[in-house]
Amino acid sequence: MSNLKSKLISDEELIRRCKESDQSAQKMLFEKYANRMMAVCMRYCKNQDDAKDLLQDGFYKVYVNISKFKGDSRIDTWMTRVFINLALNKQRHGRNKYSHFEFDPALETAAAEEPPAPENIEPEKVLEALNQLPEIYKIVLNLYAIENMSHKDIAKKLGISVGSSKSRLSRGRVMLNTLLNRK
Amino acid sequence: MDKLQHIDNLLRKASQVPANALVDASDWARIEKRLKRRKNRIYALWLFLALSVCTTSALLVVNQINSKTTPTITQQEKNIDSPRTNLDLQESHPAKSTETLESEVSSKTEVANTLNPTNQSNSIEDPQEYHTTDAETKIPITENSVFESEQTIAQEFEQTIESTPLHQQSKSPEFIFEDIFGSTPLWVNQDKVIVQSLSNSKPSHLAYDKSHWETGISFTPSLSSKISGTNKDLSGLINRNYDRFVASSESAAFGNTFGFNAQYHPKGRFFYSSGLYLTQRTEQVNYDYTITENFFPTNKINERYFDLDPRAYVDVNYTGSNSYHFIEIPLNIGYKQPISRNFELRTQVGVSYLSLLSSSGKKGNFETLFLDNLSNLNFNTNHLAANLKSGLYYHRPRLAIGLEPMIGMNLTNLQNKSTSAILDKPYSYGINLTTNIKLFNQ
Repeated sequence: MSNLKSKLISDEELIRRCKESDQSAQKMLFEKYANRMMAVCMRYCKNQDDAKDLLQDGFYKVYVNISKFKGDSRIDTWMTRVFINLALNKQRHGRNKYSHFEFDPALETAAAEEPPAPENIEPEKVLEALNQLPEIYKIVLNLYAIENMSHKDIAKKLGISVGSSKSRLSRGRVMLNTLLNRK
Repeated sequence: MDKLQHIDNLLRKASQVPANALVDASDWARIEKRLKRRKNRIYALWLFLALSVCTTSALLVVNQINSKTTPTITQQEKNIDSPRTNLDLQESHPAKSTETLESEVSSKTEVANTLNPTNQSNSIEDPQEYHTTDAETKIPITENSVFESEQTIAQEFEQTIESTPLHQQSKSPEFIFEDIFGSTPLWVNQDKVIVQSLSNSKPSHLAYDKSHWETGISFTPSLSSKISGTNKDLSGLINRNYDRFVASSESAAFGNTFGFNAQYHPKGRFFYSSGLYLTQRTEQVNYDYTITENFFPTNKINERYFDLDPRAYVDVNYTGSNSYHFIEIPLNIGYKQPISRNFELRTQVGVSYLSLLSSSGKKGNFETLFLDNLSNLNFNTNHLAANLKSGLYYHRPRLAIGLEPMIGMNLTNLQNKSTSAILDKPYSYGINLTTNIKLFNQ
């Protein structure tokens, strides 16, 4: 019922009320965008528990900082940016909070010569494979392929050189292709 | 052109799938709880500020009113030697005989002569001189008796006081001056020289026999540094070059603490102190290094380092001061030891609650060695700190000015233990300058 209500109210109205710390509006915003943001969180975390932690931290940050949202972009675009920044910061400064992963030594031997992964592979398997990648590659893949960021922006965001970003993307694709071929 | 660009398309498709089944009501409940806690913290802070301002204002107003309507000990003491004092003597001791009054006047004058032997013209040997204050207030004294003249003066003053509106009966400027600064300046009235001498025998301003409050402002310029430790759970993540490049480039820097200070002094030597401060802890960083290697991240251990291509080297060059701003609420217990009439030694020890407001600057990451903006890092918000102050206080009847060397050290780690392999406990030491107004219960 409340979910339906949240869909009927416009984003502008929701944002205005959230800026006034209206609790019901905050809940409606959560109901409207939680699933979409959870998908973002899942891409940056290794498991569901870590993703849930990120989801809660991200929404808390959205509510605390919503007064800074000027309406230049869509609210979900802005929220995605907030979530990604939070995930990157947390991963950079404490990879163990949102991600626990076992490094697969076999990935080091992944080669570009392997055949391309099948196009009809299920999305869940793609995400599962993505989560098995070392973070430095997974993040670049996420930012480049999904968030459509340029190497220049990725380099700036991660504090690395453009060359590093390119090489990580290339290496990440090879590793992901290897993993998808094994599925 | 990368042969594996179709991987990007697969990823884009996968990202379109919403995670419907994963979000539940408990997620919102936890967010709501955090939002409520935040709101309560803000309310509590504003309430504390409002209460502090109201209480201080009310105490100051009440105290000011009381001090204007009730003569102070200092004032009564001074009145002994003035014509007005004769009235006071008569009013406060109506049953006293003439001889008693005479002997009191005589004894006070002797005290005055003893304390101020050079001012012999004011001695009892010349009663006319003694009762003469200045040209305007000179009162003729007959040889019949001192008492007769005093009675006349008393009557005159009674009439004067009755005909004077209440607001004009309040203290003259020099009395207010004396209440605040403890003595009447010589330039106010020449005939107060003898009073000045008498006031030197006044009791100390260090009031241990009655409870009172002291409120005022405090400022502490300090030098700030930190004690760094390692988080055993994540120590494997620390870059092998961290100490050489980052840790050795961080040093102490200047900080400060400023705020409102409140002390309660019950009878005796112990007192309690609190307040609300803005505290700054700082560190100076001077990074100048080149990252020439990277590592394969493994589970909590980064040990497989490899050399980067020289084109991928990263130069890190940054000099600046990192600062962490806290709201601090201390709770100290203190002991005071008089060392002279107006000076005392105060020692305070206690704990503080600190809430991290903001952090600014850049810091080398313990894992990658890249620079991180402090504002993006995950620091603990709530902290505890230990305080120790010991120093000298100078007292006037209504003022206490303190100069106290102090040290304050965080007992809790600045960084979150679940995310940081390096754990810092910042501390600062400096000189605390305090100016307090004393508020006595009437």
